Amino acid sequence: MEENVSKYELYILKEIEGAITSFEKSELDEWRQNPQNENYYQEQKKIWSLIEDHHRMKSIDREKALKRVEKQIFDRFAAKRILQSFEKAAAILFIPLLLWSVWYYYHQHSADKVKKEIVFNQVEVPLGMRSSMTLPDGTSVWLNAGSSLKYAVSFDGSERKVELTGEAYFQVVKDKTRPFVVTAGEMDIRVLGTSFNCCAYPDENNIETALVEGNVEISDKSGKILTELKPGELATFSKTGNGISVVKTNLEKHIAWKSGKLMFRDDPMNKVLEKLGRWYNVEFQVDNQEILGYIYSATFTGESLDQMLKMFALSAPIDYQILPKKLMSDNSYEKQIIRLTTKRISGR
Amino acid sequence: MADITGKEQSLSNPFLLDRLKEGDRNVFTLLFNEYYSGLVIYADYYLHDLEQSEDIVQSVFISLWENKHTLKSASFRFFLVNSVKNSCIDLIRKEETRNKYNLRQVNREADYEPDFWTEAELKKMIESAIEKLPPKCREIFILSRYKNLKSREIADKLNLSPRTVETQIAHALKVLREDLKDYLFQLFFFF
Repeated sequence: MEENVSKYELYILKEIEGAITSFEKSELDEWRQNPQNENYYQEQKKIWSLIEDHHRMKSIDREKALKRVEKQIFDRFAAKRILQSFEKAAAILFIPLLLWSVWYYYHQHSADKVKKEIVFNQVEVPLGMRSSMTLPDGTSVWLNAGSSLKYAVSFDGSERKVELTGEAYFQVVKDKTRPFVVTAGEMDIRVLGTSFNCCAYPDENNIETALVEGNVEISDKSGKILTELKPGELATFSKTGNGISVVKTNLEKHIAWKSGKLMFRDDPMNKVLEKLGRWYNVEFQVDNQEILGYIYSATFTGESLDQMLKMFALSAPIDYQILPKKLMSDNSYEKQIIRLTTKRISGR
Repeated sequence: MADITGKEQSLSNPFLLDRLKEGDRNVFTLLFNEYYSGLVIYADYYLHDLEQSEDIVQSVFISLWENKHTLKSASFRFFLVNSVKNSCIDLIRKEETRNKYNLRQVNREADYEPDFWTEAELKKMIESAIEKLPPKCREIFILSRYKNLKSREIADKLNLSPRTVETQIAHALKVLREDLKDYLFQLFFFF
């Protein structure tokens, strides 16, 4: 076989492998002077480089490259497709939006002629929870369980008007030019700058206003002043038409709730149960009407429902039973019901 | 010869072009697998930087997908090779204007034009040529070219003289040249 290979062919190989001596190299160069030999030399080199190329191609990580490219192409296109569907949705929504805008524009303009539209905000606190907030004028408001407060987003009228349902404690920032007016059911409370508590739940017969400091003026819907309060006084407004009464009161029990305490001082049980029910978001079912007449004093501070009921049973001649929650048709549970009974005489 | 052009024809099938235009990702994957590694080595002739070559070929594939609707001819091969070549030349020009002394050793031989082969084409050509080698010669050749062993290492391994090993490799080279030289001058028929 060796006869088949010329020394020049060996030199070519040696050159490729980088093992050629300078003497061999000069011999090879001389041989390449002949165009035919040079052509042969180039072809050999080309074959070599093709084999080399093939070898290198095999070492390229095509899978990895494909993943990278696909990520760039298809991720981007996926995002585009989502955007396109948004565009469609936007186009569909645009027509009603346009109609509404036209209507709103005319409506606004006709309303402008009468009076400036006031934009209201409403905050609601669910049962079993409490919340506090700051109004646009800096007045602080604490809202008790199951209450809501509606107020103008900007107080730019001659009065700072808010509407209360439920119980709230107000710490009103002083502004002599703009009285702060709380509308609670059928009555208004007008103040300049003071702190007071107002309890006006729709399911209660009375609206109670307890003044901590400053002074307040309570008027009815027609604007007739019913009474003025001094600090430490409690005004009880009867929704059933029995007028308004003012008495000195233990302020603490009216405002303790805002610091998370529930305080009762010689309060009738029916009122106590209303407050506890809202506080814990439960409903009391009273079998014996006698219970509602009990006068009760206690302070609850952050107790769980269970702890509260235990304390309740210890401090009053009452037994309780937590009824299992019923599943309603829409798969939600109804409010927790707690059944109260008079304590049985032991030893029976 | 017929095999190679046959392969090329199968990938320039207008049917594939239609499917690609419809957004068929399988066609894209098919083209990628067929041409990627060949294009990278092709780009490397210009750039002498394998990583940069891969980047260029990948962006060419991305532009193939993005411009699939504007493709007129179904010669994917032509489109891909030309795009890679143009991207490489662009890149070299940019680098040339940036550095007066080009750091890259651009091959500036007169009308130097690298060949483009797909991996499958080379595999078919080379492997069938290697098959024809006498067994001993083939073994030595594979150790030399594919296992990257030096002649001396092969000689030690097979207990042969280095001279024998070199002769065998040179012989293999000679046989391959005989076998493959027809292909080498048929290149431009593909484009």
